[in-house]
Amino acid sequence: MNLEALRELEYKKCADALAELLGLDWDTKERILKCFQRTGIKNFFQHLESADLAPETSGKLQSIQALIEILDNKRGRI
Amino acid sequence: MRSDTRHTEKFLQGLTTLTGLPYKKVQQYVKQNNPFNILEHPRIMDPNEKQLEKIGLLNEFIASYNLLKIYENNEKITFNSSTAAGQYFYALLSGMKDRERFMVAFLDRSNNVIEIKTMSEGTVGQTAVYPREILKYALACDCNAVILAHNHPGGSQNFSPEDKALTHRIVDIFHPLEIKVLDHIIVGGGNYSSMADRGSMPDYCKDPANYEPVALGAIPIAEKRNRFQNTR
Repeated sequence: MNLEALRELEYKKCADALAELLGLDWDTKERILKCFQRTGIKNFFQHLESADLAPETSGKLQSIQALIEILDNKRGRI
Repeated sequence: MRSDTRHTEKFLQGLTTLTGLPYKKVQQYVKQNNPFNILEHPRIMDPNEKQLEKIGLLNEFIASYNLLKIYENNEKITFNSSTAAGQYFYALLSGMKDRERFMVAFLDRSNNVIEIKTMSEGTVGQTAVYPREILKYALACDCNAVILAHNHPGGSQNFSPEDKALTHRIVDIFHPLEIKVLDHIIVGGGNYSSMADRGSMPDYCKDPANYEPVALGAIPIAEKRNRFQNTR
């Protein structure tokens, strides 16, 4: 099993879902995808402010961040 | 208690901002219900098409995020416990609300994942599993053990008689070949359950190997009846 290839594929899927959910343009989606690839998804959401995104996008991502934090705590498993 | 309320508020604000569900309606619902129900059973909020699509995308994102956390934490994936397998399949299958998917993890001698395959995908309450196909992949990758997993879109975390029969059928095929069937994971209702944890994993052959396809069905009527208590 090629974990790196799986990870890459999942980063793309995740960025696509995020772009559709938040109504992001292509450039912003690509920038977020690059951040995922460079820092990992956990770090991306932990350091959202360093991603240098438009305030509106950052605001929406903060909503996502709040949700996943709560879901992580609720399940306390992964 | 106060921290719980704050968390719920934060959750609701995030959810309504992202999906367009009306805050007051959601707030009203969570007064008497679990807020996570909204993600797992979105139709309870009577959403319009756009809101429903957004909730679906949010669920898709969450499933993907959970999977990526596992990928980022590991050089290779090892299922050395039912928890590790359960968490992994939960991340893979929890987003599947509209159909049943049956998957198998093929493991080496150290329980590292060689490959994870979707063996079949069906409708909301049924899927057909082909034991011959599972055997074909197991032999092709020379695995030492397998773990079975599927989701119950209806939300039940109980093993149906069909689930148990299928597990036994796979054991009947793999046991003589010295390939272990370590666990069968069910994902449903926002959680997962493990047959191994429940002490119900068969470790012996019950019948001769039978390669006929198995239909994993919906929740049996008896169980549905048991869930409903007549209080009058």
